[in-house]
Amino acid sequence: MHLLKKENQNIKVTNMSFEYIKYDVNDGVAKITINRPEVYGALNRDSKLEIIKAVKNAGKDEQVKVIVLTSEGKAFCSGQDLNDRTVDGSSGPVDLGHTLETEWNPLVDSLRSSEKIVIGAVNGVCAGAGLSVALSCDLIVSKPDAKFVSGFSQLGLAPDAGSSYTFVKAMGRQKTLEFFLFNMPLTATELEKYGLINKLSDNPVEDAIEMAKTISNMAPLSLSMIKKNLQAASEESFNEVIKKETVTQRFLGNSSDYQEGLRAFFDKRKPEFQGK
Amino acid sequence: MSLKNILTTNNWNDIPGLFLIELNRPKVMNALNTETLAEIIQSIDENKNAIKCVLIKGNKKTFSAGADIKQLAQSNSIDHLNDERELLWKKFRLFPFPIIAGVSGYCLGGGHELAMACDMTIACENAVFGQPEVKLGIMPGAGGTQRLTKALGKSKAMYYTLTGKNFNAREAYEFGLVAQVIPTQTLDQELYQLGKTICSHSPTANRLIKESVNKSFESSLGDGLDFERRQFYLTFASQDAKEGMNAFIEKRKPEYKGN
Repeated sequence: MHLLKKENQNIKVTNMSFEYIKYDVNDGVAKITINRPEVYGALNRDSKLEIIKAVKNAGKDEQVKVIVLTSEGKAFCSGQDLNDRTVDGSSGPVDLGHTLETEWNPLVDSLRSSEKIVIGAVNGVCAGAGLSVALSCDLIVSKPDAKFVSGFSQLGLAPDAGSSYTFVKAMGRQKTLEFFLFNMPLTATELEKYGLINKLSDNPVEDAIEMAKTISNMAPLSLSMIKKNLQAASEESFNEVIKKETVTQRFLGNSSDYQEGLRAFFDKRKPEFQGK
Repeated sequence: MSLKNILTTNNWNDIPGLFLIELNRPKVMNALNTETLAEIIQSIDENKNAIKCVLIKGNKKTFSAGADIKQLAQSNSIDHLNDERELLWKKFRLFPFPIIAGVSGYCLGGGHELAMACDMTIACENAVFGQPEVKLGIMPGAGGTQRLTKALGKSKAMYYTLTGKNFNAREAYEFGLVAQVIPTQTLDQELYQLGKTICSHSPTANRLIKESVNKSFESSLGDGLDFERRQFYLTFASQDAKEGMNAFIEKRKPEYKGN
C-alpha cells in the first residue's frame, strides 16, 4: 500500500552538551548516564529536563536502536534533589503537584512513550521518585544488592510518579503498603522474584549493552509495537487490548520488514530490517 | 486554485471517492488561519461531486495547534466580524458526506474545534487535546464551548475551558469525543480502512445517517425521531436500498451507485 508522504526519517542529531548527564552513542546504543555521584544521582529540575531531552533525541536518531539509562557512582537515582528551591517546603507550603506535572511525570512519560526500548542498568540505590525512573525502563539489569527504598512517608509524603501503580501490579497491595509505609528496603534480588527485574549482574552496564546489541538487530517497528501493546495490556481491558493487537498487526503486516522477515525465514538466513 | 497550506489527494490508495486532506504548515504547527480553513473548504467544494468520504490529518507531531497567535494579537473585533471564517465554518457543517479527523499529536484551540466540527475523530495514542484560549485572555470562538459541552457535559467542559488544561487520547475516548484510540504509527492505515469501509456503503445512506445524527443535537427527542423516521422512508426511494437488500439475499457484495 502506498502512503501519501514518507516522514523524514533521517533527522540529524547535533552534538549535545549536558551539565548533569552524559550522553553517547556507540554501535546503535545511546547511553544516558546520570552524572551526579556527589548527590547519589538525585535530580534537580534541569537534570530531569536534560534526561527528557536526551531520551527524545535518542528517539529521533535513526542511528540509535536502543537506549541504556544508568548512573555514575554508587547510586542509580535517589529521587528529588531536595536542595532544589522549587521543592523546599521548610519555610512554607510548596506545590509539589507542579513539580510532578512539569518534571517527574514528563520524565517518566518520555521513557515509557519512547519508541525505542529503554534498558535500565541499575548500578546502586534507587530511592523516592528514583524508583519510578528505574521502573519506567522497559528492561532492567541490576546489581544484585542494589537497594530500592521509598522514603516518602519519612518526609510526610506519599509515593508518586507512578510508583504506587507499578509496585501494586507486581507485588500486590499488602506487600506494597509495607514497602511504602515502613520504608523497608528491597534488594534487586528480591524484586527479581516479583518480575520487576530482568537480570541480576555485577556489571549491569556491560550486560545491558550486551542485551541492547541483541535487540538492535530486531525490527524497529515490531519492537516499538510490542512495547506499546504490553503497556496497554497492563492498563486496559482484554477487549481494548485485542483491538489494539489487531490494528498493530494490520500495520506490521503492511511493513517491508515483515516481508524481509518472511523471506529470511524461508531462505534460512538472518533478516536485515530497515524499520519500514 | 493553488493550495499553499494543505495537501490533497483525490482517490487515496485507489479508493474512488476517498479524499484526503493533509494540513501542511509544519513551521507554525499547522495553525488554522482563515486561509487554511478556506483551502480546506474550497478543495472539498471543488471535488464534492466525486467525494464519498473526507479524511483530514496533520503530521505525526501536530494535527493543528490552533490559531496563529502572532496574527491574532494584531487583530481587533471588527476584523473578526468581517472575517469570512464564520461563513466557512457554516459551509463546512453542510457537506453531505462523512468527514473524519485523524489526530496525531497536538490538537488544540481552533485545531480542536476543527476536529470537533468533523463527523468523527480517531486519535493516536500521542494525541493531546485542549482549549487553551483562556490562558491568552480570550475564549474559544468556533464551537469550543458548544461542541465540547455537548460531548463532555457542563462540569468537564467548564473545567477544561476555564483551566486551559489539556487532556489525552484515552481521556478523550472516555469522554466520547473520539471514536477510537490507535497506536501512533498506524494512523494512515486506520484512516484508510475506515475511509474504505465508508466508501463501500451507499453515499445516500451515509448522507441521510449523517443528517439524522446531527439533527439530534438540534432538536427534542420527539422531533428528532420524527425526522429520523422520514429519513428512513427516504432511503427506500433509493436504488441503493434495493441493491443493498438484494445483495444480502443473493449473498453477494452490493454495488452502490449513489442513486
